[in-house]
Amino acid sequence: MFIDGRNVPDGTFIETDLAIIGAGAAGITIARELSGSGISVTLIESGGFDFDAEVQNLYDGESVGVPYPIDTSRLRYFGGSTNHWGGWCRPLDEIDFEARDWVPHSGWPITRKQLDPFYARATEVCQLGSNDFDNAEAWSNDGKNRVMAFPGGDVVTRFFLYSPPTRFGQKYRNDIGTAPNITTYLNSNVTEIVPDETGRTVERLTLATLTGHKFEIRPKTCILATGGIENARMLLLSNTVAKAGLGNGHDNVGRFFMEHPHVDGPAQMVFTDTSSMAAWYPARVDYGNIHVRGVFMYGPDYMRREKRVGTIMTIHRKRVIAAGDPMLDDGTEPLERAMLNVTRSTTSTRGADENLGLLFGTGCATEQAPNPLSRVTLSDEKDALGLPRSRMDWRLTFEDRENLRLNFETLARAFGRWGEGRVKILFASKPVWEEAEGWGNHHMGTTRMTSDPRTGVVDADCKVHGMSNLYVAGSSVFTTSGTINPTLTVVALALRLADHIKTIYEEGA
Amino acid sequence: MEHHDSEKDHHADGISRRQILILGAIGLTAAAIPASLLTLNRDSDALTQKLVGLLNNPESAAALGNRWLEETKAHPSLAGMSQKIAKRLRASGLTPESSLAQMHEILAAHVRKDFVKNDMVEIENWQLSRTEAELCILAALSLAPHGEGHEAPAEPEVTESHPA
Repeated sequence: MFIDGRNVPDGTFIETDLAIIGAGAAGITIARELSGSGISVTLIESGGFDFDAEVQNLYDGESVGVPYPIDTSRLRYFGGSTNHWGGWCRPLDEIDFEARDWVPHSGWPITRKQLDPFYARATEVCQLGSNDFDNAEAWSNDGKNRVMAFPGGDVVTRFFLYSPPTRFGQKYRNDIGTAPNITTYLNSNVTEIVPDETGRTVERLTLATLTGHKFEIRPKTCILATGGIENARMLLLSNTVAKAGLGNGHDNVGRFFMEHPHVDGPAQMVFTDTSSMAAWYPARVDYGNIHVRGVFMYGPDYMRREKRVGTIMTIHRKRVIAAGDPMLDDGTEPLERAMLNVTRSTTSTRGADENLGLLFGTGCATEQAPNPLSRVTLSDEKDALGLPRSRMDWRLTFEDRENLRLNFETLARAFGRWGEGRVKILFASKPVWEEAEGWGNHHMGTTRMTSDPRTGVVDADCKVHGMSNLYVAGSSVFTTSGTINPTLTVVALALRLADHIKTIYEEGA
Repeated sequence: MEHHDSEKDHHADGISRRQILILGAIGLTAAAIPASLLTLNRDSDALTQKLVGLLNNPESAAALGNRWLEETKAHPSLAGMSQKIAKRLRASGLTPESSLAQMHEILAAHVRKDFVKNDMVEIENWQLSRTEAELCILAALSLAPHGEGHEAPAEPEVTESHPA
């Protein structure tokens, strides 16, 4: 059942077993999993079924660090940011969960293996058509598409599978609307999560609408699922009892904000062997209902040996380079052609050919190491509900930048060892990274998962440290970001949390 | 920021200190080879011819070599550069009797080894093996108008600071 919060009489209070704040990928997934469970679920969404500029404006805020689009990088209506996501899916790698001694603050309290069964279920929720991500043989098209086997294993090919992309608000609206135990309040904004006087148990949620209505929800259990920025904001502004905000006894809420810095055109590559470029490198390839894209990533042995964090590179075909191509306007040789001629003279095994090779461009997304100074706090500015807006202080470090530059040098080495290509690195080595060329709209880390309450906000069950009945869902719980788009992991963690909630209620019953 | 469009900015920022050291070492060490290691001009010319003959398009390779010469303002000598490359390839099995096919094999193996050792040179942001870069410079010197590059100008003698 859907209820418009603007029609709820002032002063109403609603009792429920479970309140889920936010109807995005995480919130909708958890609600669906609990459909028919006997647990009464109240799903709370700030927006309606469609985009509304006035509602969206509640997401506006300050950006005081590396410039960041705090308002447009997320969407505030039923379905959340899945209303504009691109559908790139892949699980985080095993190494992403590990404590890496060269990455301060790394190490999830759960492993990839523990998450694997939930990833398998998440691929169904996200409509990927397969859970077999690196089955190059299946995508070989009878041997025509081959993985580029760089010697040494430092640079490897990995595969993304595409969601259609699933618009959770559209795809699962009927499931949510018809579930007998789920009530969804639209156009309803939680203004505070209020605990009892001990500050350890959520007692009630205060809600307001943009039309001025106020009412309350009193849940036995509460899940905060409003996204990687808003989750931190909600905890910080829930400060009537706990003055620093809920779960913030160790000043970790809002810290460790991570993105995946994107760089457009950080490198170019020439290949002499045109047959080595499988169709799924430069473009998405469809195999029935499975959509595949190959990318370059870095092997875990390389990252351990060289103490690096990862980068993903996509490849874009630019043009064929032929021996007969014209010279440049100043009469000099185009250097990409010169590079191909040199490569064909040294390591290439290709014979003479009018077409010397191909020029490819790249794009990349890279891992940002956890940094406590990169953070979301509350602004002095207020939104239309009178609540402090978010202040984003995104920080990128010299080490983040240098890591990316060194990864590109490794790519160049891999091409050289392979022998049929060379790399041009356009991403400069600079002492500071004052400006991101791009980002992924991936908001991670602000309520990070740790086993030690002193170093994070939620535990391995996604329960807020020190709270008895408050959980967090979404990419804000990521301890480290990896390099992979977060939605599949968000959904996997949501499925895991839903199972946990079911277990609690079963044990309680 | 239109990162990929500002080629000149990249050029300015794109060479790390380490790589500048590498570039410098190539140029300066060419002049550091003791005279006793140099062969007669006639032999040197023949050696240069053989090495440049490994390139399927010397003019094309010279484009890269010329960019390097412009970037570094270095003035390596043709004979010195030939000897330097030959010395490097001799360590990988090159002999005076090596056939062209054998030379190609030795060169390919050595270039791969450069990449394994991270012994790379950056020219206009392209990442070349050190041996490849030297061949490009050799091509540029050998194709320079008569009198340019064939005689090494006076340069300070330095100790080779990078593994050959």
